[in-house]
Amino acid sequence: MSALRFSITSVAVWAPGFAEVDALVRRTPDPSVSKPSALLLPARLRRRTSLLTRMIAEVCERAMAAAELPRGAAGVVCASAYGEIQTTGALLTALTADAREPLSPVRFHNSVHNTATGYLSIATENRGFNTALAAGRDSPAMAVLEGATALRAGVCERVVVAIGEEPLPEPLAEVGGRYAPLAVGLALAPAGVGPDFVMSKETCSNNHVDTLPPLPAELSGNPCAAALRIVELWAGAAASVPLGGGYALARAEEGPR
Amino acid sequence: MPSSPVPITAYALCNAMGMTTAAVLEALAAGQSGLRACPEEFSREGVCGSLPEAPPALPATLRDRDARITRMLALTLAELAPALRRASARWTPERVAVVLGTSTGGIRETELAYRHHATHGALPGGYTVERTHALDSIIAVTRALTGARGPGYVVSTACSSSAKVLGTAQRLLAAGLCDAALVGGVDTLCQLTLNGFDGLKLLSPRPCRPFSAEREGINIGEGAALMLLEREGEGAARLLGVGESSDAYHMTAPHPEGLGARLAMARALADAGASPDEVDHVNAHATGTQQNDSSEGRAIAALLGDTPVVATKGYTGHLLGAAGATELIFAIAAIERGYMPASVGASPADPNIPARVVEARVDAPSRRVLSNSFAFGGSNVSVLLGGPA
Repeated sequence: MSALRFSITSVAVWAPGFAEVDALVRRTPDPSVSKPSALLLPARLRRRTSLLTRMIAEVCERAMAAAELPRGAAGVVCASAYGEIQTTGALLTALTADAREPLSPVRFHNSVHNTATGYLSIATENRGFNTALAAGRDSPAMAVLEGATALRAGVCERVVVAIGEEPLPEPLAEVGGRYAPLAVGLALAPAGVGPDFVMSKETCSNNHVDTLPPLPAELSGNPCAAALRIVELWAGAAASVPLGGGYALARAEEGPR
Repeated sequence: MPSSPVPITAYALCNAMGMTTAAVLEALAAGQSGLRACPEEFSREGVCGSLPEAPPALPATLRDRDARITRMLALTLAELAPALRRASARWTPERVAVVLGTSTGGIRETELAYRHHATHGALPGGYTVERTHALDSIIAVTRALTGARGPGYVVSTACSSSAKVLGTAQRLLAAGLCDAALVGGVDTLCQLTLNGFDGLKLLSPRPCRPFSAEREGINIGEGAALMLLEREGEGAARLLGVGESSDAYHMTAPHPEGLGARLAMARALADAGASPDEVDHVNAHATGTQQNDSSEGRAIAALLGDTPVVATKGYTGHLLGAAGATELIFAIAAIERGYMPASVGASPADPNIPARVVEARVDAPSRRVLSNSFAFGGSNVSVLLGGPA
C-alpha cells in the first residue's frame, strides 16, 4: 500500500492577516490579525512562549474546537523546518557575546523543537502521544504522514497535526530569506468520519494547484507554505494539492475504502 | 492489538567510547568509560563525551552539507553500507524510509557562523540555513550516501528523539509505506547545549554517576547510532513494542513519581503484548541528575518491581538526541552477547532509589530489554527489544 486514506474533520489557519479559512481562500486579509491570542495556554505559560508556540497553540485550539474534540483528547504532531529559531537565535547571540556565560534556563528549554508540544501537553493535561518533526520544505507532507499513520496504528483515536514556521532571525535571514510566519492546524480522524482525503506518492491527474491563485507573496517563501494549500483543498478550492516530498493530498472519491 | 515484531537486521554506532561499533561494544563489555576532558574549543573545564578522533570530511559532492553532525553520521553510515545495499536491492530504494532523531542538527556550525558574523559583519561563505543548520540535513546526506528514497524526516523531541523514531518506523511499516527503515540518531557537542545545561545547573564537573548516591549531574556527549529495521529478515534483535507518553507536568523537571515514565513503559509492554515479568533488564534513561534518576527509579520499581536496571550514560555522557538509539544498541549488544553491562559510576548506589541497579557486569542472558528515554517538554518513550524469533 502506498496511499493513506483518512478524514480531516476541521482545519485552522493563522498568519498575519489570516485567522479565518475563508479569508485565506479569498485572499482577503484582515489587517487587525497581527498576533495569535493562544488562549489555550494559561497566561503564566503563554508569557514565556515564542511566536511559533503561540501560533501552534492557536491553530490547535481552533482545529480541536471546530472538530468538537475536548481539550487533551487528541494526539499532537507538530512540524516545522526550523522550529524555535527566534529563541535559538537569541541564545546564539548571547553565546557570541560571551562563550562562557551560562544560558537562561527558560530560553534554553524553549529552544527545543518540541517546545510547543510540551506546553500544549501541560496546558491540556494530555499524557497521550505527541511528537515534533522537521523535514525542511517537506515538513507539511511528513507531518500529515506521521499523523495519519499514528491514527492507523491506534496510538490515538484523533490527532491534531500542527504545522508552523516563524521568520528567521538576523543574521540567518540574510542567507535563508525573509518571510511571514504561518501555522496550520488539521484535526485528523480515521477514514469515514469525513470528509475523507487520500495522501499518495503518485502525482494527481486532474489537479490542482494551477487552478489556485498564487499564495500571498509574504507567505510563499515560508518553508511550510504548502500547509496553506491543505487549507484551500479542505475548503474545496482544489481537488488535490502537492505537499512536498513527492506526496499529494486529494479529496477522496466516494465509494468503498 | 499488539504490534508485529520487526527484525533489526543491522546496527552501527560511534561515540566517546570509540569510532567504530566494535570499539564501542568492546568498551561496554569491559566496563570502560569513554568520558574525557571537554575539547578546548568549548572554553570549558569539565568532562564531556567527545569522539576520540575527528571524523573525516564528507565527499566533495556533499561539501555544502559538511558539518560536525553529518561527518559523524557518514562515519557510522559507512559501517552499514553493505546492509543498506542489500536492503535496497531486496525492497527497492523507494521502499527504504529514513527516520532519524537529532536535537542539535548543524547548530555547531551556526555558532561558528554567528561568531564569524560578529567579527566580519557577514556569515561565512558556504554557510546556509537550509543545508548547514537545518535538522533535516542529516536526512539529505543519508539519502545521498545510501540511495534510500522512502519517506524521510527528523523527529526532534530533545532527548527522546532517537528512541521515538522506532515508533515512527514501526507505524510506517505497519501502514505499508515502506519495507525497511533506517532509524537512529545523531547529535554533536556544541556550546548551546553545554551552556544551556550549565544554566540549568545540571552539569557534573566530574564523570557522571547515574543512580549513585554521589551523583552530581550530567555530562554532555556526542555520537551517532543507526539501526536497520526490515519487514522480514534475520538479525540480532527484534523491535517488540514502543510506548510514548507526555508528563504534562513541567518543561524540564520530570514528574516526581515518574507518572509519564511509567505510562510509557506500560504502553511499550502493551504494544508488545508482554507482561512486566517478561522484562529481563531495563536500560534506564538515568542521566545522573538528582530528580531524573529518583523519579525514573520510582517509576521502574512501581511497574517492574526488582527487575535489574542498567545505566550507561557513565560510558558516553548524555547524547541528547542520539541517546535513545545509542542505548537501544547497548540493549541489542546485551541480548546478543548475554550480559548486563556494568552501570559504570553507580557505586555506591543511592539507597533512596528503589530500583535494583546492576553495579558490576552480570553474565546472564537477557531475552527482553526495555530501554527508556525522557526529554524536555515531558516527552517520554520506552522501547521493548527482544532476541531473534
